[in-house]
Amino acid sequence: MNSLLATLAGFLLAVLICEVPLRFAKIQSALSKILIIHLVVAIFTYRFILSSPVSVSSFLILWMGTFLTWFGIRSHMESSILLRLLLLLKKSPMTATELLEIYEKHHGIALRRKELIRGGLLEQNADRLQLTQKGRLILTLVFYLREPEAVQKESQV
Amino acid sequence: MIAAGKILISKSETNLLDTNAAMPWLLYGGWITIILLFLTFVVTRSRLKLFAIIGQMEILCFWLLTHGLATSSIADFYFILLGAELFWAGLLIVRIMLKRSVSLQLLIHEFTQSGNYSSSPWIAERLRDAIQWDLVSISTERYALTKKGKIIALLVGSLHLILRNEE
Repeated sequence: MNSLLATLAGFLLAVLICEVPLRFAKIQSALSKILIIHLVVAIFTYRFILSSPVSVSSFLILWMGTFLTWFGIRSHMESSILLRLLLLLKKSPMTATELLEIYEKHHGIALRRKELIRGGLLEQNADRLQLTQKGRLILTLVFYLREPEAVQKESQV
Repeated sequence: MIAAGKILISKSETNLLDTNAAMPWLLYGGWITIILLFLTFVVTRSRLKLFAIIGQMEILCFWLLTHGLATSSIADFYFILLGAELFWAGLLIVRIMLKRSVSLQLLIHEFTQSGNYSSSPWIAERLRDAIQWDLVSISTERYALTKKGKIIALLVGSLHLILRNEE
């Protein structure tokens, strides 16, 4: 029980340290820094609980699972349109046009493009945006993990 | 007395041997569960419910096959069980992200270079979702938060403030 609490406390510490790079970038753009922080904190946490009967394998499985869940929730908090719409409507009721206008102005496509460029997935090339090698790699992975028909349909939107 | 001591020693030795023998199987079971969860994630693609059900069945199988072994390494057993559940939940969220992420759609759009890209279809879809989930209501063409929507907006707003996500 103590080793479980110590591991979760270690994970919480890693999450708090990750907030430093995340003040300047979105989670996908700062992924390499975040992975390094988690690796270092995980090593220190395991050294701390070394006297307990927990093996490195089970410690790794717990850390991996917690990381994946945190990554998903944190990423969703940053980018979810639905949550943004709820926050906008918290101020006052709006029509669909008003919502779209405000959303586009503060959180719209231009901002997302900027973030993709910052994350090294897109690059500006003579008035045109192009996919970088990293962007192509991510997209290949996405195509593989999704229904090909769905990707085709959405690319036509 | 000596004979009883010998019996005691040999019993504890047997327990130690059992512990050592059970331990790798528990760990192998843990890693096999993680690999199976990932393979299920890849194979089931966008079928979210199918992944959720098969994933839980895999974790249940791990529990059924290893809970007998766990008496010797109970901490490891709970670490792996909790880790597998969280891994499953994380993969579920990643699957939803793959399905709904606008940034990914934008990346696909830049790849296919197909016309202008607009947020409006996505906003319309999310508004439909919000109404369906009773987060938002509509009257005289204006959208407003329901009671449930207000609670969630308050929670999300507080989290955004803590995480400094407000732009």
